[in-house]
Amino acid sequence: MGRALDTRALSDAAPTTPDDAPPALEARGLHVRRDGRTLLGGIDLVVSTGAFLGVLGPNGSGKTTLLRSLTGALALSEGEVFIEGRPLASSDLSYVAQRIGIVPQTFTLDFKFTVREVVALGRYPHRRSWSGWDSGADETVDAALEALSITDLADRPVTEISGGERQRVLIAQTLAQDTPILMLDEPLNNLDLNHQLQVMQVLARLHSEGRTILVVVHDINMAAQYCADLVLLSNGRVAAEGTPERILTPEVILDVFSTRVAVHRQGGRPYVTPLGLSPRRAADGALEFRLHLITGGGAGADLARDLVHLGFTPSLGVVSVFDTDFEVARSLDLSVVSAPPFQPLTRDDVREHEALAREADCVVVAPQVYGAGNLANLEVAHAALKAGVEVVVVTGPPIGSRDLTEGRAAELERALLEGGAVAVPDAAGAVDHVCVLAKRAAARGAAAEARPASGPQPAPEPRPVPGSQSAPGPAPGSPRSRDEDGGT
Amino acid sequence: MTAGNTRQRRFRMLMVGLAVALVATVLTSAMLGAASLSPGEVVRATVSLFAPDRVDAASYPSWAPRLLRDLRLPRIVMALVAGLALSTAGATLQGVFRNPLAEPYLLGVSAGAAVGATIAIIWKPLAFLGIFGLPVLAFGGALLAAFLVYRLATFAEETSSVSLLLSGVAVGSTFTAVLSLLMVATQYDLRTVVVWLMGGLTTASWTKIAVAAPLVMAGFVIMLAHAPRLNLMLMGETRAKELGVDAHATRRNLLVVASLTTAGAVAFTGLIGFVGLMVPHMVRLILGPDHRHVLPAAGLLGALFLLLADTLARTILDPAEIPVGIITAFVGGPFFLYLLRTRRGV
Repeated sequence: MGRALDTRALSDAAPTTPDDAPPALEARGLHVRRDGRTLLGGIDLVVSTGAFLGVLGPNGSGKTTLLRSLTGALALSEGEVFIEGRPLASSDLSYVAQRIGIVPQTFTLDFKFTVREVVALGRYPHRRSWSGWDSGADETVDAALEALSITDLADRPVTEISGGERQRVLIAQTLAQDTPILMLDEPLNNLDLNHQLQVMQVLARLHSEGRTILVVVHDINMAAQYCADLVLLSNGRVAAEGTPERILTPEVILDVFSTRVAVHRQGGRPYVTPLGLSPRRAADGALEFRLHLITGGGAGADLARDLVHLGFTPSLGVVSVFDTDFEVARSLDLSVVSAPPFQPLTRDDVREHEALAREADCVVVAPQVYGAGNLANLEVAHAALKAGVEVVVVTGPPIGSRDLTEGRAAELERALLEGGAVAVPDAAGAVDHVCVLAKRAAARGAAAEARPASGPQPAPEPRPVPGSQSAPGPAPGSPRSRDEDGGT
Repeated sequence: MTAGNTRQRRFRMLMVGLAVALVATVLTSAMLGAASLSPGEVVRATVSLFAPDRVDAASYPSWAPRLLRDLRLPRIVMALVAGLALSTAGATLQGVFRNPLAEPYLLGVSAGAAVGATIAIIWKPLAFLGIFGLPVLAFGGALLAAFLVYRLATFAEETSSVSLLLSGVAVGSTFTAVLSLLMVATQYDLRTVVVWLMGGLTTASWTKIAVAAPLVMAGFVIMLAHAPRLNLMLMGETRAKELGVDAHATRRNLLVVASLTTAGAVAFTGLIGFVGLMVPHMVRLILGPDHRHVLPAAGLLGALFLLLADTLARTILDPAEIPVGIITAFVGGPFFLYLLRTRRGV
């Protein structure tokens, strides 16, 4: 990026902030209605001077509408906006243009201005005469070109540059406007990763100069990493506001974006990983269904991912640290019983694992390679089975090829199946079977809720279980079908 | 910086070049005609009009001063005024519509002005307005046409070439139909009207110039004052507002002013097309789209262009004369097609 943005040229308008100064922007009770639709349904927002506020929200949540109504570009149905304490409604356009710089999503310009001329148009609010701008114009324009790395393009016609370059020209034009408040509507559109970072860094630097920045961003992580505060919009209302640490939780994001995510920390800031489908499209009963996956050595990684995408939240055990399964569990934000690598499981590990397995509605045994170290996993499955938990065993590839314990593992697996565990040939079969179980549990739960006083319910007819040809499915009303929440 | 300076220098060079060419063309045009004069005779005869004592009366034909005063010079000045008016109106309309195909003639603004002017000619009750009735009513007609086209052609701030041209054709034909109806219904001397409609400077007089020139110059000055705002308008009215331009007022003012200069030209010279299309385009090719440069240069080039066209029109088939509108259309039509095909980025 060459040298830093020339702060001498761009700092004239940076505000000094006495403590009692009014906030840079304040919105009170903003309502915007169009054609009977409510675009903004009562927004109160205070953007203090020097804030770096990110506006997040799903498509159609009112982000752009909010931005446009904060600048007076959009007529309000109700409410008031104040710029530095002055009512926006009674401020004239040129005053507003000297206080607020706006980067819209796009602009069209079919006339062959050079990039420099386009950026210089941003100086219009500061013009002093018909032909020229103020004396600092050239340096300000230079600094803006430099900040966005488009100095090389300065003499090119703006009609002949790429979309990403146009986006940066637009941002540079707004920088040249040199306002204490900046609002950007998805400024990262059309930009590749390095230019996205560059733009966010320019904003961070402007923020550090004391400017107030309001930016609509699509990328939650970009917002979390750079913005000091966030506002989450949902259906034209503020769903949450606060620091990224405080509001970027899986619950809030599930609520606002209908997406299940895992949230980690990265460099002190939250980092959000989407986990796939929204719960609306999750398998029936998946959200409440307690599932435990016995795995190790990466045997259950794909299975865990598939289950998570269907809305399940399996726990995993016992998994060695550094194991593929361990990494997957962490990236999917799943709870896991872990053990140090390359050591036999300790008694404590096994106890913890067993407790987790007994708590579950269903235990799935992934086709792991068994050695002395993890043979206890099969014993845990046994204990769960005995406790009445549904156990599903993935039997392929054949146990013979995975048994490094001279037949003891094969024997334990056979005992599991004979004891009533369901065998499925592969991961897909296991997923199908788990879905059926979850659905059945959900149906039972619903039935119990609907007729709370009518005593024990007969368990619904079990459906044929896909992928379970190799072993008999659980018989209806068999002692192993747990109906804790069903009331049997 | 460098490009800015280059363009600044180019602007100055172009303006000087145009001014020199303009003087030369005025002189040439004054020389040419049924009776030709030498450059020296033109200069001396002209000076004699103001200060008869300063030049030797024998050094020019005795009829030359009157010929120049009553026929050639008014015609030349009218050509300059109309050329400036039409080309700057074109440049302004192109900026307002953000479309290089906008032009008073193609948008029907000229036709609107013509209807107004015709009403002024044939409607006796308006006779009390005298010579001012013509431009006043022409202005009204032009204004009506300009705002009609704007309403019809612009959806959500965007003006596509198709909707612009179609609206222009629709508004233009409607006004032309009204015009024809007026003429047939009032038994007005059809040949005169038809020739006037084709665009001509034959009837130029100092009286007409005295009315048209102030209108046109006033419009031109207002356009120049709006030039920086017009530059921002090219990015769309929303963006212009974000940068502090009152876009609605700017658009309204410019439509009014473009109608005014168009009316000033059309009222006295009839329908002369395509000047407002070709001239601004050529200027932008050389200077770029900054209206602070485009408007003055287009004014000069437009004046030069129309004077050349008119000089050609009255000499090429000597002693017969072609309406100058035919010449401009002859050049402008193909130019228009060329623009239509290669339109991106002007």
